[in-house]
Formats: sequence, C-alpha cells, structure tokens
Amino acid sequence: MGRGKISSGLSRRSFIKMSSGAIVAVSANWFLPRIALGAEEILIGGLCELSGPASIMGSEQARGMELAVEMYNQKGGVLGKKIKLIMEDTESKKDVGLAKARRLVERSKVNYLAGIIFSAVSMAVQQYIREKKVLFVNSGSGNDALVQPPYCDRYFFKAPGSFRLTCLSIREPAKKFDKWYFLGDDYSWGKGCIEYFKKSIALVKPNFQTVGEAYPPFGETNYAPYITNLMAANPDALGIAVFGAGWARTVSQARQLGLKCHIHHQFWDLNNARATGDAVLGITSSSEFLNENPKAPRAKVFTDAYKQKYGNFPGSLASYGFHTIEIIIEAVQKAGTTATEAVIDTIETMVYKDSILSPDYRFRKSDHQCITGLYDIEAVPDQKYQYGTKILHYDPNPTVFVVPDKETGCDEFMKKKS
Amino acid sequence: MTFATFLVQVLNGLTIAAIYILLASGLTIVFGLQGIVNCAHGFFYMLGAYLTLTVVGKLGLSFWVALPVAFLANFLLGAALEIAGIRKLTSWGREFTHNLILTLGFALVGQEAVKLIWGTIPQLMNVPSSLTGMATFGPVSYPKYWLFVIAFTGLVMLALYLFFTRTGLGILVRSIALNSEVSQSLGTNAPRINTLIFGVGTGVAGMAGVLAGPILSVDPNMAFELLIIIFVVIIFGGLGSLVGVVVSGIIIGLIIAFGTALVTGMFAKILAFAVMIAILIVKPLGLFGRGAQLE
Amino acid sequence: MEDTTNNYSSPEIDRGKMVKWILILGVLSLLPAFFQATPFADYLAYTVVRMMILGIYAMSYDLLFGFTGIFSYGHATFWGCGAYAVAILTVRSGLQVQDALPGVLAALIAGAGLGLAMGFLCSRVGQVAVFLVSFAFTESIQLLVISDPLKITNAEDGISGIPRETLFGFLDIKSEIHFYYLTLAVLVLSYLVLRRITASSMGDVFLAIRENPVRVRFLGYSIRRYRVAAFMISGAFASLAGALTALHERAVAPEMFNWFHSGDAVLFTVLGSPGTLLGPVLGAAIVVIFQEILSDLFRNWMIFLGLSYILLIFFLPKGIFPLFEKLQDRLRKKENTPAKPQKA
Repeated sequence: MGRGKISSGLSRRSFIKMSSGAIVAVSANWFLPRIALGAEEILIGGLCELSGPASIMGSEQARGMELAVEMYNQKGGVLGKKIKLIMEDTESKKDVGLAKARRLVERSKVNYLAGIIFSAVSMAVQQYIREKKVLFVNSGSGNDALVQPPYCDRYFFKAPGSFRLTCLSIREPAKKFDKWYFLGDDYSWGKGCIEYFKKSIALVKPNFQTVGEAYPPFGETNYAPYITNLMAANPDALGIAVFGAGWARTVSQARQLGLKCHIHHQFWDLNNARATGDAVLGITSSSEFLNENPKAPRAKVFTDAYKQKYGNFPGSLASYGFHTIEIIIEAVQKAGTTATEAVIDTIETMVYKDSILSPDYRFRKSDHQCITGLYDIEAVPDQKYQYGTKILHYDPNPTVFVVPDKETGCDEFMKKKS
Repeated sequence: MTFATFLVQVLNGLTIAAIYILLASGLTIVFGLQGIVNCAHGFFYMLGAYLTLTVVGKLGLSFWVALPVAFLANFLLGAALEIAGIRKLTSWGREFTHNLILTLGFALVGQEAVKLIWGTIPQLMNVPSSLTGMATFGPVSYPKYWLFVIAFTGLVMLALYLFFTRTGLGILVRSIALNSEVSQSLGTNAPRINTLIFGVGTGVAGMAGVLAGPILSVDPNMAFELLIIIFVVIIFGGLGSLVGVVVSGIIIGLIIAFGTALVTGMFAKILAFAVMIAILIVKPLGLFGRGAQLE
Repeated sequence: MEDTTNNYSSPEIDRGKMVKWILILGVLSLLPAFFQATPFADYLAYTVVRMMILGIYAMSYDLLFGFTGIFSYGHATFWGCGAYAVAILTVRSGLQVQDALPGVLAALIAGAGLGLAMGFLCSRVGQVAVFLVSFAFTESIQLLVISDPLKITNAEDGISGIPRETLFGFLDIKSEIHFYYLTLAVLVLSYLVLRRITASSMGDVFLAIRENPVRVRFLGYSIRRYRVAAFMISGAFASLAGALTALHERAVAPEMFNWFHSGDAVLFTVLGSPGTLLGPVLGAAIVVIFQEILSDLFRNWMIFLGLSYILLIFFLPKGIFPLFEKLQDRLRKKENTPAKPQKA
C-alpha cells in the first residue's frame, strides 16, 4: 500500500457513471418511501432512548407508544386516517437526540413529536421545535426546568408529573422516621429530587435530621462503598433517587449488605422492582401509574394488552409512552383536525377523563405542565405481578411546591407566533 | 471511620476488584498470547449472566450448575469465534486492527441477539440459597455470597497461575507467547493453542458474568459497561501479566472503594485513571508488563 | 502516446485528473441548488455538511493511522476538545465572542496540545498499549468534563446556544447554505494541507515509521518525536472538525468524548482505505448515507452496524480503493482493446 494516490487514469466517463449511479440510488431512497406513504396518514415521530444507559426504560416507552398506535389503528385510526409511528433512537445523547429530531421533522415530515426521558436531551430538542413550530410532547422527564423559562413553550407539553410532586410521597414514611440519609444520581434530576425530598419531609416533620447524603455517578455498578458509608451513619430511613439499572442495584445491594432501615424510592417501576427481588418488599414510593387502578380502570386494559403483545408487564415509562400518544390523538379527535395550532389549543383545555394514569389528567395553560394524581404506595407481594402496590394515600392534585399559575413567567413563550 | 467500617470498605474494594480481575484476566492472557484485544469480552460476560437466568430460571437447575455451563458455553462460543474469525484474519496480516473491528462487530451483533432472546428489561439473579445471609467475625458483618465471590476469584487466579507455571501445557503456551515461530518449528500446534487460550479467556468472562449477576443484576447494558475500567486494570497491571492483573485489580478496587467512601464516586474514578496515567509515565508497560508475554 | 497506463507524467493524465477534480468540486458546490428542488433542502444540506465535517475528522485520523501506522482509539478526545473549545470560548468565558474565528483557533491550539499529551503517553508504548492507553485517555478527559472541576463545561448537561454569526468579522455564516460553503472550503483546504504534509519529507518519515520503525531508528530519526508530531497535527485537524460541528449543531455535550466517536474515525478510515486521505472522506460519506438509509428500516440498527463491521473486515479488508482500481482496470481493458490496432 503506497501513498495511495487515486491511480491516475480513472477516466472521466467512469467517474461520472459512478457518481450519477450513486446519486440516483440515494435519491430513490429519499423519495420512494414518502410517495408510498401517501397523504392519508398521521405521522408521529417517536424519540426514545433505545440504546445507552437509559435504554431499558426508553425501550419500554417506545413499546408503550407502539401499542397505543396499534390500538388506535385497529379501530380505524383517527379522523379516518391511520397513524404511523416513526421511531428514532436518541442513544441517550443530546447531540444524537437533536439530530434525530431534525431527521423526523425535516426528512420524515412528521406531524407531531413525542418521547425522550433525559431532560437535557429534551431541552436541546425543545429549542429546535420552537423554531420549527412542531408540537412536541415529552413523555419521560420529571424535571420541571423543562416547563420553566426559557424552555417552556406553546409547542411543548410535558406529560409526566414534576419531580417536585413525586417527591412528596416521602411524607408518608417521614411520619414514622426522623433520621434520613439520601442517595441521589449525580445530575440535575437526582440532586433536585433530594432537595425536594428534604422539603417534603420538612412539611410533616420540621425537626427531621439529615444524617448524610451522597451522589453516585449515574450508571454506577457497585454501590457498596456508598452503602457501607450510610450504614455507618445509622439512619432510620434511606431516601433514594436513582435511575436506570441503579434502581434495582441500590436496593438489592443495600439489603445484601445488611441495611435494615426503611427505604423510600423516588418512583415506582414494576420491572425494576422485579429485577430487585424480594429486597423490594416494604419500600415506599410514589407513582403516577398503577397497573391495576380503581380510579383509572383502563390501566388494567393497557396492562393486559401490553403483556400480551410484549411478554412482560408495563412499567411506568411504558405507561407514559402509551399515554402520550393518547394525549395527542384524543386531542386531534376532539379538534376535528390535524392542524397543529388547533390541536395545541385543544390539549390546553381538554380533560383526559379516561387516561390510564388518573381520572382527570389535564394540562395547565400557563406552562403546559400536567396536573395528575399522585399515589403514595408501599411494595407488597402480589400473585399476578409478583410485586404489587398498596395505596397508602392518593392526592388528586398535589399543589405544594407547584409554581402558582400566575407566576410561571411563561406568558411570552406561550403566545401564538406569527 | 471506625475500624469495623474500614474493614468492610476493604472487603467492598476486594469484591469490586474480584469481578474486575476475573474479567481482566481473560482479556490479558489472550493479549499476552496472540497480541489481540477482544472487544467482545464484555459480551461473553453478559452471555454468562443471561445463560444463568435460563439455566436457573427456566430449567430449574442450581446456580452451581450454571457456573460450569456458563464457562463451557462461552468457551465453545469463544473458540468458534477464534476459528471462524480471528484465525482467518491472522493469516492475512493486519491482525490487530482488523481483529478489533471484528470482535467489536461480533459484540454488537451478540448484544442485540441477547436482547432479542431474553428481552430488554433488567432481570433478577438470586443469590444461591446456600450463600444467603451474612457472615460475622467480630464487629464485621459481610454478605456470605460476596465473600464467596472474592474467594472464588482467588481460586480461579491460583488455578490459572498454576496452569501457566506448573503444567506442561501452560509452559508450552508461554513459550509460544515468547516466540511463536520458534515453538512452531519445534512442533507445537500454535493455532490450536491459540483457540484453547481464547476459549479459556471467554469462558472465564462468562463465569464472571454468573458471579456478578446477583450483585449487579442482569441487564442489556452489561456488554460494554465494565470494559473501560477493565482496560484501565490491564494497562495498569501490564499487558499479558496475570500477576499484574491481580495486583492492579486489587489496587484499583481499593481506590474505588475508599475514594468513593471518603470523597465521591467521581473522584474515585478520576483517581483511578490518574494513577494509571502516572504509572504509564514512569513505567510505560504497566506494573508488571514486559511486552507481549504471558506471566 | 497510446499506452497511458504507467506513465504518470503524461499531460493527458494530468488533464484528466484536473478535470476530475473540477468536476467533483463543481458537483459539491452546486449540490445546494439541486437540493432546493426537493422538499428537504435544509435537511439534505445539513446531512452533507455533516459528511464533510466527518470527512475532515476521518482525514485527520488517516494521518495518524493510515500514514504513521499508529492505531489510536482515542480520536474522540479531539472531536470533543475542538467542540468544547468553541463552546467555552463563545458561551462560558464571558468574553462575548460572536465571531467564529477565535473559537476555531482555540480549537486548533487545544487539539495540538492534547495531541502532544496523548502523543507523549502513546509514543513510548507498543501497538496494543497505544489502543488501550488512548482509549483510557479519552475516558479520563470525558470524566473531567463531566465532573467539571473548573466550572466551565456545565457538566452532564453540556453547552448549548453557541452563536454562529460571522467568520473573520464579515463573512456571514448563519444560514445553512453559507455554512455549507464554509465547510466545503475548510474540507478542501484541509485536504490540500494534509496532502502537502504527507508528500513532504516529514510524510516520508511517517510512512517509514509505519513500515519499519527499527530501520528508521537506525537511520537516526527520533521515532518518538515524529509520532508526537503526527498526534499533534492529527489532533489539530480533528479538533477543527469538532469546532465545525459545534458551530453547525450549536450545542456540545460530554457524549462527544464517547468512544463510539473514536470507533467512527477507525471505521471511516478502514472502510475508505487507510493511507489515501481521500478514501476516508468517502468512507465517512458512505457511512452517513448508510445510516440514513438503514434508520428508516430497522429498529435494531446495532445488529446491522455490527454485521457491517464484520463484513467490512472480510470483504473489504483494504477498504474501497481496491474496488476503484479493479473498476478502472476493467474499464481500461474495454477501452484499450479495440483502440489499439487502429493507430499504426
């Protein structure tokens, strides 16, 4: 292999032949699928973390979305049109997430966007869709910075509840325990959760004690050094805000190492619980979604359909993915058109009475944050699901810590743009 | 930090080290002999864990059956990869770079295949019933299973060490590592030995997956999760050196345990990398490295 | 002269080569116009700009791997470094820099600096160790960026809102089309500079180090110094690519230091034939095209990525250039055979 000059003598003709062939081939790929689709479909772009550290939950979210689309199409779609879900992998990365959003909007020409778990990825996409005026419903982030200036926007809705609210569930165990240790993922979500854990406990027990806190990097594999440390601090209870594979690892390793105190986890997820094993029994947590929910009967319909299609029960992310599609399509149905502005106006005022999360799920017009009920639960054994949830308390509209409607500061961003 | 807590953190460091050492050993002996890096090493680790789920979960056999099954299955698969892929590439020259890409491609395909077969949600591997609970010595209590992991790793390392220094085959392998051409002219069957050692490496990786399962749980991200820190362990200890892997694994495990306990997890990781780079400046071949040799 | 196969100095060949180059450049320059005719103008321009930036990235790696024979797996360091240099300077430094030039210059300097560091560590160890050490080096840099001890990188969340207004103070690079031409110009310039370097006596030493390092040492050259030089030049150009991508996407994140980016550099170069400079650019373009085509069709795209790596190794071990040469031979046979008897 010498210096590798392109061997001289490559004639003009052959080069033109090759390049034109290439251009035709590529162009064909660009145009053909678009033509085949036809104009009678509603295109929803799904942006999910299908690979990378959030892939487990991202895949669940994607499957929830797929199931929703399938169920709608079985009934004939909406407004006489079928729905097509085009899924792209954000790879849990901001640059890729943004590039895929661009691909969905500019190349696949989707009507609406849905998905994403990582708030940082969502922020990058939000700044893009506001320029392009495409409706984007986030279906996985708990971080409420997304619905505050400068990220809140007329074109953006956040389907999951805010972590400020889900942290409130710690009030239940706080009634019984005084000395708390906290373990949170070392990034904005984890740290924010610990902050609101403390604020929530202070509401019911102003004199509680923080005997320690630690922030392992997201994706940590072995939490033993943290656990040994925290055991030495001798807490009554442990508050955990750890996401991804760490959910199961922290609880399981803690019990293996002999931690006896009470554990409260920021959010409940059935599949993570099953991966933890019996160590999960007795923990308290919060949830916006329950697989079998007396207040939201369709949750069970969803759970059974999901199990039938995919072989495992849906966790919280799957429910958000499913629910997000319903948010969009129900609004389209009610608005009677797929036009973005009309759909947005409809979502702002609609109440989703049959949602799989809670009976009066809706959005705030001021910042497009959702209003949904919150369940404080305790993990108990269950015949069907292996680990079930016992409802300790239900709050249909937790407003503690929520920025009041008039003070969101989002008015500028909510205005219709010309 | 009380003395009891200190001891527990030491044990934590050793548990962390044990899994790293098991994984790194397979990688380093393959390197020492064939001079290639197997990017699919993490995949074999993952496969060992997932196979155990089936062996114990679906087939109802015990954990103790799963260990040799994982070793064997991964040994065979690794050997197949070696014969079908790596050996071919070696005969074409350019082994190193192409082997890397080949094993990386294999790892990606394998990881997706595991996801397709076993699903994408994290799964539970239970501690074997004979090893549940804590062992107590004085003020210190530690999970029995975790102690077992440390002990088992020690045994495997001892076995490998004895193999390479006391058995005829082992010494033969080392001689090939030193000079393949000379040994071949003396009549050894180098290609077959390459396959054998590669298989042993991947088999050990599979066992590491089984052992790690109850502690770290089984999930689809396993294939590449630990690869980076394993590389650090190998570079630090010296490529091709088993002794190096053990020593460096223990040091890094302890750095991580105490760095995390005293400061933060991020600090511990950075410290581990910094130590590796510092050693490289002083001793470019790592603590015990002596070029491409097995010892 | 009818037999033109081996005579490189023939004027006919030079003209043929020139025409070929003008054609390529012409096509590339006119592409944006062609795009306007489609409904995806912006996206197509965006994609081709990505290809060109990755082309620069690939060329820089070719210098290191294809020409000097150093198999580093740490090229992502420079990709991220260049990007963050621009981001920090324009957004986080508080200096209110709006022009792109200072950021790009900072990227070049930072790239050469990191190249010096990495080169220093890697030049003293053997081939396999270089792979592992460069890999670990990249990871260390990523950890530093995430832990953000100096509070300039914004840790996990990355930096967004990078301005893209002017270059040199007066060239407007805000629109996608203008940026397209800027990137094209940088690509061509980078190619010419790298060509110059590889054709120079330094380039000769690089090649010699790749082929027979022992001999080079006997001839009195310091291998270490040349390897470090290769890292520095390669690092500077790769950082340039990173800087361009920061301006293009207007956001950076710690994932840019992820080892998959290092793998990309290797893939582009191996696919495009190492040691050809132009080949890796084509390799990058091919990979991007394949990603666009495949993403539509398959959810488990990773399987296809893995499979393509395996197929690449077995069917195109030397990259795509041998294919070109085979094609040429066949075409030349067709041209020459009937023509020969005529000119007597």
